[in-house]
Amino acid sequence: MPIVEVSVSKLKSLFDIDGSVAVTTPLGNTLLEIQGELEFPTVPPVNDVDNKFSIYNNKNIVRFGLLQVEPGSKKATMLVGEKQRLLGSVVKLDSPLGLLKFDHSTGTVDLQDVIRYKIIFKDRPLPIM
Amino acid sequence: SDTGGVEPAKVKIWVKHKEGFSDAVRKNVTWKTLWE
Amino acid sequence: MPTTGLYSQLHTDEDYKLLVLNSELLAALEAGSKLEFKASSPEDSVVLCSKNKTWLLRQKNHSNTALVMREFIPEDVSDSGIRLPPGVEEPSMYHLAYTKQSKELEARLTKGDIDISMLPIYTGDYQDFKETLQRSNAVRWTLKALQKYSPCSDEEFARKWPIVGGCVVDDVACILSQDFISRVLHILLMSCMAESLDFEALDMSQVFAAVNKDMGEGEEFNPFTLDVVRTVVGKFSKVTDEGKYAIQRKAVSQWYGVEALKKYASRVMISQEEFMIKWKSSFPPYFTCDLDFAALRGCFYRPLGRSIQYFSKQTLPDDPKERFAYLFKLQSSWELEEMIPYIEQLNTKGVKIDNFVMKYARRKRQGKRTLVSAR
Repeated sequence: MPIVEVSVSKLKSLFDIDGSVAVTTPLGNTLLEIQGELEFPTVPPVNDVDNKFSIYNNKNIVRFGLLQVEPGSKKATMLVGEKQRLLGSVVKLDSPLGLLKFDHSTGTVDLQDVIRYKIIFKDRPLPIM
Repeated sequence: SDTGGVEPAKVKIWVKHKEGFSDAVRKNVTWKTLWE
Repeated sequence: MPTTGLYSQLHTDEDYKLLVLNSELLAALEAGSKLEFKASSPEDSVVLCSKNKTWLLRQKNHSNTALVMREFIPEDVSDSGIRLPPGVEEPSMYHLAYTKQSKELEARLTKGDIDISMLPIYTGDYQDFKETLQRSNAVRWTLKALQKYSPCSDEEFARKWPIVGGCVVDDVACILSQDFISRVLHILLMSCMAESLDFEALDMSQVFAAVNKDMGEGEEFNPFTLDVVRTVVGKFSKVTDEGKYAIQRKAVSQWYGVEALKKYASRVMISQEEFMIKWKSSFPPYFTCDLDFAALRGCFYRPLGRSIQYFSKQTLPDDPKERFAYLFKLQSSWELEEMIPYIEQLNTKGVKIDNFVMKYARRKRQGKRTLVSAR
């Protein structure tokens, strides 16, 4: 039926914390934005020579890169695959984003986190030096 | 790890950059699309 | 510099959405208000409701890749043997992208709405109401069900329901007819005055008792139930901080004005002076209020300049060009102020009304007045 209350039980504590600058929320979520597509195989390849593919919680996952955020600065660097280096920055969102989870089996909606910052990579990737 | 001399085809993991950014399209959300 | 290892699920979860929490939404959440997604039906637009506000939900698609990642410990971290570029430390943290988002939900503040179009009308004739309900296959909503499915927050619903004339008869949500509202209002005003009740702080049970005082205890059906009285008092009052009802004389005056227009100026025009006399004499004796003719704008036109005739905007075409043409056929020249109620809902972009009018008509200043005529 077309009505559902958004469960916010997880968030009660969040609104008591005043927004200190942290890319990762107190609940452990990080928003990473790329101007473009992040490409990787959708099935683990046979010749996974670098052990990039593994399984976590019964799900196939891939190690796609490394991230460095300069402490006390807004600069971020991301290495993707073997060849690309992206320069980005940490920005505060104009409005925070609520992360909603829609549970189809129970028909419930859960507001799981409030995200206030993101790491954004807008520029064309550079080669790894 | 040692690949033993022969370089196998590497899996490609990369960012395909897009020129420009767009977010012009906005549309109303129906109950159906909310759950899509 | 610490390094974070970045991972992604090969198939990201689709069950997540991002909602832009504008300041109003954030304030509602911080105040501990509940939030609900509501829609009248699966094909209808979704609104988001807090305790007292309603937002229309819209979806914004963007061209970036937004990954929501959470901290985790990979199972194979010890033997992964990551090849690190020179100068890059071994990762000390790990993030796993579990959902990929290319859209955001936005909430734009709107007015909560109650769709009363499918509700039965109650004229005060109980027998007729029952028979009509049995004959028609109209959906019978309880008030609770109607509130649940209305794209409207709870507080807005409570405020709007009496204003639209909403009532409950036999547990069925219905709308009181205009005539019945007029009848109840008239009796209610007279009864309150007879009992010297304070119009600034009415008590619902006292009003109900006053209205029913002279009803006698005969067999005759009494249509002035508590629900009916509550609707009419609610429609014409504001609730005070003490939970009493303060009669809004302006709203009462306007209601009598529109009723007088319908009664005396529906088929024929009437001079404004004559109308004012009719209007003034329509109130219960000793009830005082100001007669503000401007409050009746949107309910009359002037077929021959000065005289007025009742006209309901319900009959107007929806297309802006057609509507302007129709209005100029009724009356070749309009005073802007008197035309606004008939056209303002066409101004969906919220342009300054003077400028909006210019798109479809000619505007002329005449002293302090602005006259609008066809181009």
